[in-house]
Amino acid sequence: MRRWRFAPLAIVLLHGAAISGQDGPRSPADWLDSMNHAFVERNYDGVFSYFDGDDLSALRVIHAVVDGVQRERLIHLNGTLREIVRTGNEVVCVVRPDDAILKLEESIPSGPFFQAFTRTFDDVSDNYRMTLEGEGRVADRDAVIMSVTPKDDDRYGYRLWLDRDKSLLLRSELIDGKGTRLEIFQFASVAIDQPIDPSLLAARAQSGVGMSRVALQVARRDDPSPPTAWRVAWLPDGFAVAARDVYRTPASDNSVNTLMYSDGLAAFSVFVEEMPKNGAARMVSRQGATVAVTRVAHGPAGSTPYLITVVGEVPVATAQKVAESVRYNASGQ
Amino acid sequence: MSTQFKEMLSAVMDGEATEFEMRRLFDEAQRSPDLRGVWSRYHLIGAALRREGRGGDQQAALDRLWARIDAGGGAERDVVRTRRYRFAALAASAAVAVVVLGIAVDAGRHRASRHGAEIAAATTQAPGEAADSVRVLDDAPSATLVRDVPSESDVARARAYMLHHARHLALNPRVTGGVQYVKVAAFESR
Repeated sequence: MRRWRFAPLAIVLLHGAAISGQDGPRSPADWLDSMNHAFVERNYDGVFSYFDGDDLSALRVIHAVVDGVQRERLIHLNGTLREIVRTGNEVVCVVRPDDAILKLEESIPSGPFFQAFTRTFDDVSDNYRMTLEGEGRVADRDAVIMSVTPKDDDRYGYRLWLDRDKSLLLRSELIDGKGTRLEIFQFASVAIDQPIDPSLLAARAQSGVGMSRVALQVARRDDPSPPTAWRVAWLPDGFAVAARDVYRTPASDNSVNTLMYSDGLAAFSVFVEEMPKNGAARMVSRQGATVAVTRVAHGPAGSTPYLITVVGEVPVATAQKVAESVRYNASGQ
Repeated sequence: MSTQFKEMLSAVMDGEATEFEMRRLFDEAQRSPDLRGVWSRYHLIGAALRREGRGGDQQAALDRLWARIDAGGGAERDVVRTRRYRFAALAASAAVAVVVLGIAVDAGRHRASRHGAEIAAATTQAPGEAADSVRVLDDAPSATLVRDVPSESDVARARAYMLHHARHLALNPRVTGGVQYVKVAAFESR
């Protein structure tokens, strides 16, 4: 009912083989690297579908680099009116005043968000087996199909369809250990490296429709590890801290320790806050491939207990194991 | 209670429920005492299984299980029996879960609820909460109120952190490949 399952596929895997792109033969790591560059450096305008395991959304993305600045506009085409407009590191979310997302923002830590430290794709290969499977076709474009299979059960795998000429990601599937596709992203049509009218990169003004804006900022922090006494004692192999900070929630002004970990492809965040006065549930919640797990932990001696929430695109068992390992370390080591 | 809601409840217990299913379940639970009762029974058994999964004595776990069920009214045993395969995900071991439930269903009705006092002491009522939906976690600080049944605020908090996580990743596209803003734009957009 909720999941689509793979039928067994007889695929001849070309382990370690290279498939030629515009610039000649490339390894899987080369393809991944060029995919990342394509995301930020190419102009593209397309419509795509996003399936999160429950719901199917249609969105339009317009991306361009103008005077060296990355600009992007993402428009939600059905359901709630939403636009996300990015200019460099500034992001504005344009939504209706009654959008539920605004209410959620009152209870979550506010920005600025700090730029995460990333790993190279050479490191990624320690934990994933990357294989070029052959060629396919998406959005009427030739694509190279790549399988990214985890080497353990602590993370999910991916199948990626990359544009053969431009390396842009045309389709992606996030897959659990049973082969269930948890999330699917796929372009229905896309124009790549065509001139973009600058007016398409601005949020449209809607007469008679109220809008609210939320500005987010990104600032680079050279030290990814500001002091925090909370430590995650167990991490899946290959995961390392990508960002760490202390935020305050707008509604309650509570401070929330936030730690983000990534293995270069998957990521999860750990939120640590004082136990809410009205208590909390130990629970598991999920949306698409994103899971949220909560538990309660001891904080400093004599203090109130703390609520630990682990959120990420990892299996439930992994998130639970991470949550159970979060410890308060008074020495800060 | 419809089969559909039983399926949703089972998915919640397995940690497989989506946000949409959780919301529908909460809505229905507000209207249906039957659903609230079944939900409570599921959690009582889940709690007993979790305790067993941490290596406790099986017989003691059975005693605690039935004491909790007896204290809670002892209803819905048939539902528990038919859904027991779903509880495997809650237990540390599927084998332990089947053994515990299998024995409990057959033999548990003969047990005296001598652990009722212990259970009552471990159950603390919070303002506005049903008594059987709040308890003290075995491994949590002793004064901590931890609900077995998530409240709306618990679900909202989880959703909010999912949103925060998606935004943070979206601002760091090199971490995961750059499609994270899709999640923000599509976040509960129905």
